[in-house]
Amino acid sequence: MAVAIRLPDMGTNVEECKVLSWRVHEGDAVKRGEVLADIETDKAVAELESTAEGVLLQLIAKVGDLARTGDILAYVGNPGESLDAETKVVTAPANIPQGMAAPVAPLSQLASGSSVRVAPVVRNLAAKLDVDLRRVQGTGLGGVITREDVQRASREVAVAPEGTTPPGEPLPRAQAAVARAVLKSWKEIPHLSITASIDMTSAQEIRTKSDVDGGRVSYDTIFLKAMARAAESLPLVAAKLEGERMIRPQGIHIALAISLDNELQLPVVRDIGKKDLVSLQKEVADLIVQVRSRTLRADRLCGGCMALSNLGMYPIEAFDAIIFPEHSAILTIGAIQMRPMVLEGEIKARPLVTAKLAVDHRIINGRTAAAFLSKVKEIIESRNSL
Amino acid sequence: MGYDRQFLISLYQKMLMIRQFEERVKFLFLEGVMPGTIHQYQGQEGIAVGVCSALNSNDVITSTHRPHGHAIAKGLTVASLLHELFGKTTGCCRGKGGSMHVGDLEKGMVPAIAIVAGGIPIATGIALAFKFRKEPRVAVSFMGDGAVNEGAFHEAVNMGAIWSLPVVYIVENNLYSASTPIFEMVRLKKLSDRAAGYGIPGVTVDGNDVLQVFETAREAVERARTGEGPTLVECMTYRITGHSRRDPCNYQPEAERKEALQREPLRRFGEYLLKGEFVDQAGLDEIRAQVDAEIECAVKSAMAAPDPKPEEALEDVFV
Repeated sequence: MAVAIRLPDMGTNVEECKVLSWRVHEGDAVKRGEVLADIETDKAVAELESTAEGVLLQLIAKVGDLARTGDILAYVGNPGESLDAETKVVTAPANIPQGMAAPVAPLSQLASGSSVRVAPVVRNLAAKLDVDLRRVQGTGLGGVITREDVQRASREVAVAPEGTTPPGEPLPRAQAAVARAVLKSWKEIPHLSITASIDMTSAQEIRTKSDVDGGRVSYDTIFLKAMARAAESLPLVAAKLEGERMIRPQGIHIALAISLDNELQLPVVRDIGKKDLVSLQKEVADLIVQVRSRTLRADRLCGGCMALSNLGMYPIEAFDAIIFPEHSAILTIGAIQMRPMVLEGEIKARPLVTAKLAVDHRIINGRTAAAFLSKVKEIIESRNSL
Repeated sequence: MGYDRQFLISLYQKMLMIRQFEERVKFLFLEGVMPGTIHQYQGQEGIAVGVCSALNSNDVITSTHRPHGHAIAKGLTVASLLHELFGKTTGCCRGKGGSMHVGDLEKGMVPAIAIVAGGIPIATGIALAFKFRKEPRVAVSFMGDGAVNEGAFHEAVNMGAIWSLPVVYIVENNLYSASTPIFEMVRLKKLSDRAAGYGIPGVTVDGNDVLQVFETAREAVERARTGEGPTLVECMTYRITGHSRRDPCNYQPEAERKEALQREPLRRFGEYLLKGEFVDQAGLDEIRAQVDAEIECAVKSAMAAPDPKPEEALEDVFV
């Protein structure tokens, strides 16, 4: 029977520890007490000792991953033993920030045959408490469902006992998660908002000339690209705050707000800077299809550092939005409208859009926000920057 | 030095009990089964066992934040300790003390005091009580090396000296006060030289040689019991684990650590017993099996014991 090697309690006030390096490989024989990995806490580098003897069956945490006390980092068992369905934790996409996958993962995705990430002891607890694991959002390493998650889910169910139906209708699960996320942001993130008008003449030309399998590059794609380019030159604007620590972004990944009926989804477009407009447009179009058909994978909802929200299909001039938790900023754009503009002393009609940028004022000041929005404007207005 | 074979084996058995107890607790902690934090005694077993073997059962010790070894050496059962560490009502302090406050006055151990040097004035006061009551009993204060730089050390040792109290001060010098090297914190070469300042005998011994510790303690206890006053005994040793479970211990230089582990007390004493033909390997293996079985049994019973009820928090409270 495989034994889970968990992160021990590393000390008072140590919330997260980083896996610095593994000293063993999968398949290696390990002894009880043998050092398996180096773990970095807030204060020092400590050694992770094996609590079991046998063969290292699987490394769950990857180098660089953050883990909390009790998170499973590896499995040790008998040679040749395969982790059975009960024990097995499906290897997750690396570096999913905690609490990120969870809030907006739609039930349909979880239910459609993909494995729920859960340890046997937690599975047993869920069975005992009559909690449907497919409906539990995991907050452990890589989205693993923890004992606390199950207990919380059990309490939530208990609040509304059967027979006493409260008035109104329940929110869809995903929207309930969005509700929590929005409230958390509104309470915790001091928003600073700035506004700029952007001349879309060049962007319209790029769009008109583009050909993506017979279609065109969308304004969403153009803005995503411009935001990524601007953030690459100003990475501070994509940093996020954890406690009193600033976490710099690993890459520029931007979420695009897409609504579906009354639900909001924020799929993330990764590594935008490395992609050209055409492949980016294909990816964005694909994401929209996936959201609408509810086939989006949960990991596509993770890892963004800021978001873009576009209501330009309506006659909206501009709007304020709420920063998603774990993001540093959100850029909103309204409709492109022909408006008067003074150019070289003359009033001319130009296609203008009003862009509003909200930033997390705990880490980003007005000057940085202004520099970022100016850069976005400069890139979109220039003919050759995209 | 004609030691009784049974006596020697009992010393080995107690040292092994401490070592195996601490190792088991370490894994309970790593597995997340054991709550709280712990300061462990691996590597210092020769001192607790050597000193406590020189005491009568009604003599009293005070201990530190690293008390498991002292408790086992003074006769507390591993079961009463494990129940305490798990916070169970059946523990030696009804689950209210935890690792850093284990003790049992019936066995002659004041519940451990985690404050550095906190036990020194208390042991001195207990010795004063023995003297007033004319009881032929002795108090022993265990302390770490860092304690000698505390004000309480100076005040209490001086008081024990001027009144010739029946007390023995045992400094377990494992070279580090938490992570600070002690010899960067004193200009002395030996901490026992402090004794001269109080006009009492001071001696430094190899704390990893249980018999040397026992002989030294026996003399000091005898001196205390016969009204000649305190002795300051410095026992040189080395901590195998971190200061606490969460201390990665990477301030111990590799070469120093390697060299020190050559002299660790348990293996050394085992080799002494084999060489003197007091016991053969099969005999040592049997002791090990008995020790492990006793610990395993205690772990099981501790984990199965009921948790205290919330209302018990209101008991044993003095206002």
